[in-house]
Amino acid sequence: MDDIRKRIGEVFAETFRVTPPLQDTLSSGDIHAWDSLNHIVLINKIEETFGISFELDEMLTMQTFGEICNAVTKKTGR
Amino acid sequence: MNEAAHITINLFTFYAEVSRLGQLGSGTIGGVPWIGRPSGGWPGYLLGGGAPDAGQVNQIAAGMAKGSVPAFWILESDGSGTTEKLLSSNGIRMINYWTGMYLEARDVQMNVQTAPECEIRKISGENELDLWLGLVNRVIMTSGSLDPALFRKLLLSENFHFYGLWKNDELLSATLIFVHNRTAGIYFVATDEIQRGRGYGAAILGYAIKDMKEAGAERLVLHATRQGLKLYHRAGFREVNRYDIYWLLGKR
Repeated sequence: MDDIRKRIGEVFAETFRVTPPLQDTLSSGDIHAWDSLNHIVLINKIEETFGISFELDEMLTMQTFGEICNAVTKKTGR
Repeated sequence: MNEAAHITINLFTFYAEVSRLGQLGSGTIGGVPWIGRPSGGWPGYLLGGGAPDAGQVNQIAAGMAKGSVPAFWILESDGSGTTEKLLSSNGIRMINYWTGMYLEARDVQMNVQTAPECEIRKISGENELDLWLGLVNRVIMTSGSLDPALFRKLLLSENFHFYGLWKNDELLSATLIFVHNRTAGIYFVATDEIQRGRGYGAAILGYAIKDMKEAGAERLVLHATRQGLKLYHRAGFREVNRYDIYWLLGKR
């Protein structure tokens, strides 16, 4: 899980120019550039990073850094 | 004409009319019509065209990448998943979907819910329109904003009806109705985030529906986001079809 958080933090840093470590509660309300389209770009980069893919409903449901980490952990089975 | 066709025609005519009144662009690419702003900003969509083949998608993806056509595409879903796979392999990803919903005017319950100490009325003048735009931009337009100059033109058109729910001179809820061939399409239903759960959305929706029925609308249609489904079900709308929204990833 720590490795997953670290790698997702790196994708956040690359996408939104934020500096890890990131709080689980971090959401679009905290990052101006995290709009609905950049959310898709972010999830796409995370999918490529981990070699996974999310259904549209899963993608739209994830709202915070913590929720994304949990979803990736579940999807990768780690 | 079936219910899905009524929903699609109102939806696509809405965008075409917005584009026409705003003197924005229009054209076709690979046999698919598009309207609006090719290089970003609302509205800018390819509209339908049916299940595309690989050649069409190549041409369209290239046009989107160049910025000669909009990077967003609204396609009625056939439920097969084939189109999604084809578009995805060209970098065009499904980013959302809307549920097409339908209500016969004769089935409308005319007992409009009231919200205490609130007034619902049509938007009048540019000052009220600016407040309407402020609310809709804040609640719905999470990756951009609506062009005030364009909406001033829509406000003057007899086919566009702007509504607001006010409490103590504050605008708490908003919607827009577009009427075409006795079909009233409901767009931009927005309620202030901190005012939700108090019946304001249901109240303004009920008022606008009643108003449209009295003005001669024979049917009401809308395309709902996931968040809005419950409200529209309660108002009597039925789910009919689905529209998938695609985007050439990263292209603004």
